[in-house]
Amino acid sequence: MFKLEIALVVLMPNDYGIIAFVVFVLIVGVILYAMKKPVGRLILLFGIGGILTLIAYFILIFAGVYDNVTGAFTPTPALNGFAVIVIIVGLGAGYYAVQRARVKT
Amino acid sequence: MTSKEAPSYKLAAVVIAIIVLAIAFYGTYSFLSFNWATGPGDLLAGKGWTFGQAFLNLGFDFWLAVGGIVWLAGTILFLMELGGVTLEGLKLRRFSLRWDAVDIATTALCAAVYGGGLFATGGLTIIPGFTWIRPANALTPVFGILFGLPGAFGAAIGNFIADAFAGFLSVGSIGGFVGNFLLAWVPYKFVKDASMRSGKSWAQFYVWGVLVGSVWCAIYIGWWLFFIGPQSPVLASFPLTGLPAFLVWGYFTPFVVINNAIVTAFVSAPVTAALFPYAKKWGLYWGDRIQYKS
Repeated sequence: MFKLEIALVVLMPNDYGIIAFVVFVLIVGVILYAMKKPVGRLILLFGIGGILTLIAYFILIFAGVYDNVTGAFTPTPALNGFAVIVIIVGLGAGYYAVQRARVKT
Repeated sequence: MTSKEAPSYKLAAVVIAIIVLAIAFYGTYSFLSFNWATGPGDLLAGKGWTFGQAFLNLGFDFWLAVGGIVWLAGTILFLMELGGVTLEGLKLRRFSLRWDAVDIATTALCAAVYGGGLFATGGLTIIPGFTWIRPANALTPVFGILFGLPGAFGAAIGNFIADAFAGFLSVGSIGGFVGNFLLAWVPYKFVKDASMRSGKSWAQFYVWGVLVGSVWCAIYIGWWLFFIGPQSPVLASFPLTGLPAFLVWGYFTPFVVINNAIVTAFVSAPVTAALFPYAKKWGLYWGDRIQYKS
């Protein structure tokens, strides 16, 4: 019989602090973007990127990935593999976006 | 290196590089050769890792004051750059960056590459929850010198991403965000020749990109961790991180200095020189994109 186990994860004041910070940055970004300030795009990028990062972070916490990190020099093959994917996707997407923008201009 | 340049610049570059490398080597050697069997608690007995002990011996009051000034200067510069004001020598100048698709894509590209590069070594923990061995730090001066502000902001976001995926995300990451921005911003502002074809540019790189950038970044983050930690003069009753002050100043900060310095000293300048022609050709070099208003 399968048994569904749900990891019990308690958020710490630290977590609330960083969530509040990211939400604050997102709100500032939205306001500046709505005001058509050029830097609004950048701050909006901070905010959206921060929210996506937090989502990924809490998914990894609830998935128990960090439970395997027991101390110094712990091999984390899942994370290392994920890092390689982020680098490749980032390089590819960035290169594509830059080339596309150059063609337009 | 250019042949028209005065030989004194080439000599200065070599001498400065040797001094900076000696500091970085000494810090790294003393870290690797120290007997860690009894843990970093030796710092309290005055017998800790020599490089870290030298930092700690300056005292918490010293670091509260000096670190506070360094932190405040870094924060003001970060906010100024966001607001479109920059430092040119000792003068403030208004500038305009379009933050168009190219700038945003450059920022995102730098963030992804830096973030991925950092957390690829996230398992090499030095202080659990706070820092790890980070060879990808070598990318920050490259981003700063080639891409300017988009590169510096990319480094900041990349560090945030890496903190999250390495499982180190905390309020301390806010300090890391600005600290890594500064690590790229310092060489962006002070290395004048991004092609790295002159002795002067190498000398500037070693002074600003390796030495000043590394120390500023480390003290900035260290002071932030101290300020929100259990021995904070303000937040002691409600600390947001658990790193004791002696570990912040005797272990974390000096480790960040040597980690930054050793990898940037060896890797960043040649990589910058190799990538500069491509950045220029693709129109990504910051000098071709920024416009000064005053």
